[in-house]
Amino acid sequence: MSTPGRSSPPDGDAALRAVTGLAARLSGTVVVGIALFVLWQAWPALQAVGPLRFVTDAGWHPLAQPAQFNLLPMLVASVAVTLGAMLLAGPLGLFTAIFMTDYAPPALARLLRGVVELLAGVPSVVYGLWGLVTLVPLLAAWQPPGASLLAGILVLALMILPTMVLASHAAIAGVAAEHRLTVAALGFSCAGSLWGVLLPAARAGLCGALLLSTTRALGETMAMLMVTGNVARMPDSLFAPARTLTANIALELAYAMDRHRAALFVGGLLLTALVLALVRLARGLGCAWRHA
Amino acid sequence: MSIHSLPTTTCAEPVPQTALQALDLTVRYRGRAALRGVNLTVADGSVTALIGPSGCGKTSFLNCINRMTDLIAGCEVSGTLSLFGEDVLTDGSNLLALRRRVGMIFQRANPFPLSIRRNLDLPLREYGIRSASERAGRLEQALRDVGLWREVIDRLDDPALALSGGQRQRLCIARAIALEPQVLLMDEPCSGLDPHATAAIEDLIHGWHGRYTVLIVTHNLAQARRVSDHTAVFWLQDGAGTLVEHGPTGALFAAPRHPVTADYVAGRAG
Ligand SMILES: Nc1ncnc2c1ncn2[C@@H]1O[C@H](COP(=O)(O)OP(=O)(O)O)[C@@H](O)[C@H]1O
Ligand SMILES: [Mg+2]
Repeated sequence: MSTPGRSSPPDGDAALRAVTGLAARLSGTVVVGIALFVLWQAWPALQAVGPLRFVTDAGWHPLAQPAQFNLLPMLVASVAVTLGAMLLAGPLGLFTAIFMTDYAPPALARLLRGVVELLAGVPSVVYGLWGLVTLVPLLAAWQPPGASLLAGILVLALMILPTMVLASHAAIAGVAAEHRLTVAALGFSCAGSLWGVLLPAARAGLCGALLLSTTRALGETMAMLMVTGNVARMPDSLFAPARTLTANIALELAYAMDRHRAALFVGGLLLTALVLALVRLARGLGCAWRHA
Repeated sequence: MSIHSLPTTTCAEPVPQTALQALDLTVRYRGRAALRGVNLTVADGSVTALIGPSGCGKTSFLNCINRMTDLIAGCEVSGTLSLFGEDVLTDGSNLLALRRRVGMIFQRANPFPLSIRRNLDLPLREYGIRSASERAGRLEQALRDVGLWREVIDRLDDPALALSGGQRQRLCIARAIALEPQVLLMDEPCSGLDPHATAAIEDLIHGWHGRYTVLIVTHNLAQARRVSDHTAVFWLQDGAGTLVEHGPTGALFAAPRHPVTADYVAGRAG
């Protein structure tokens, strides 16, 4: 019952505050809970092996006597495929989004958007399959063995391109219409308005697009497992096979026990730390750009 | 051709030159007329107030002058419109050059979400002014002209969006006049501002007589009387806006010829 003299809006406010507060707390708890769970699972290995050996051991031989736990080759592989994929898909996605927003005739823009949305919905295993049966043989004919960092980079670039396009498109299209009117009224050229006003005004959204694509690339497992060759050795060229941290977990968790299992979770911890570092970086980048 | 070269007059008398001439100007949105048959001549260096109730096509009229109408899907403009003798509406005319001669101030002050300095520097760069010192000089002059220089001198690199409403609008005016336009279109520039900020902008407009040709839309009749030499009254007739009366501001307010004008300026209609 509402108190006399009070009408429904305050009650609605209270309910809304309660629901949103609950949702926020729930999401926060789940995220922190997962991070703590990973830490808890990794703890035995960190204690027994010591953090240093995860980067200084001679290799990754978790079942040998004595066991070796060097995760560095996998970390390097994960970072390399992500970086390579972002170098390709980042600019390509941004320019596609710019074309869709500001240059393409409406019908073409709609068509492009439809295609990109379709691509975004294709499951990663299908990209992996395509990489395995088409891309890897092509690369193998050029630079054997084919399954390699490069195969991983190309498949990953293709996979995150739709994310990059759609998120940048949303960011650029979301720039207030008044800024478009203003640049037009000031007699700006298309290029001038884009580089000078529209992209800087969309910077927060564009940083978000980069971040979303990068974390998606970093976390991709199935397709990487299918095309990178899964050799847990430090890759010495783009054509060398490699194994990402995610693929490492997926490949070994099923049979890993005790310290081996905990060591896999150390890999998970590394991935989490990497994502956190990226979020910080993106925030820094967004701020640095403010007064450009 | 230089943006500012004016056709030379051969008359000995210093007859005010025509800045703007509209003949039978009509604006349609998706085939429906919003503004019909406007005939208006505006003298160079004069201030013209456009008054009339909402929806009678004042904004549509301004938008024709710098062809912002091109950006509105389904908008069609017919009739003729010339700026210093040059046709504005033909497809062949250079749109960027036109918009560089005609500055526009919007109802909602809309600085770019960049620093104060960048807001002025960017358009100057865009106009091909390579020399940083020339840009800095023009920036300072424009900010001085709008009385903002002293207020922002130590925070030129702060975000423009941190300024107050009145300061933002003056910044937008500075951004427009830094480009040395011939004509300034102001669409209810003071409607979001407090009386003090409004007075500051009216003072600016006073100082512009003879320097810029100003067309200002306002719902504030007292403001129209204070700032303008000429007043144009728009009204809704047969479902479309049109110009019902136009003349020197003093005469128009003292002795309106058209009955709707009489009612409107007396506060009995609109
Ligand atoms: N973009 C548009 N699309 C369709 N109709 C419009 C558009 N802009 C204005 N109109 C119509 O044109 C008429 C005149 O509008 P406007 O020029 O904004 O008048 P004012 O500025 O005098 O209030 C109005 O009836 C309005 O609904
Ligand atoms: Mg209007």
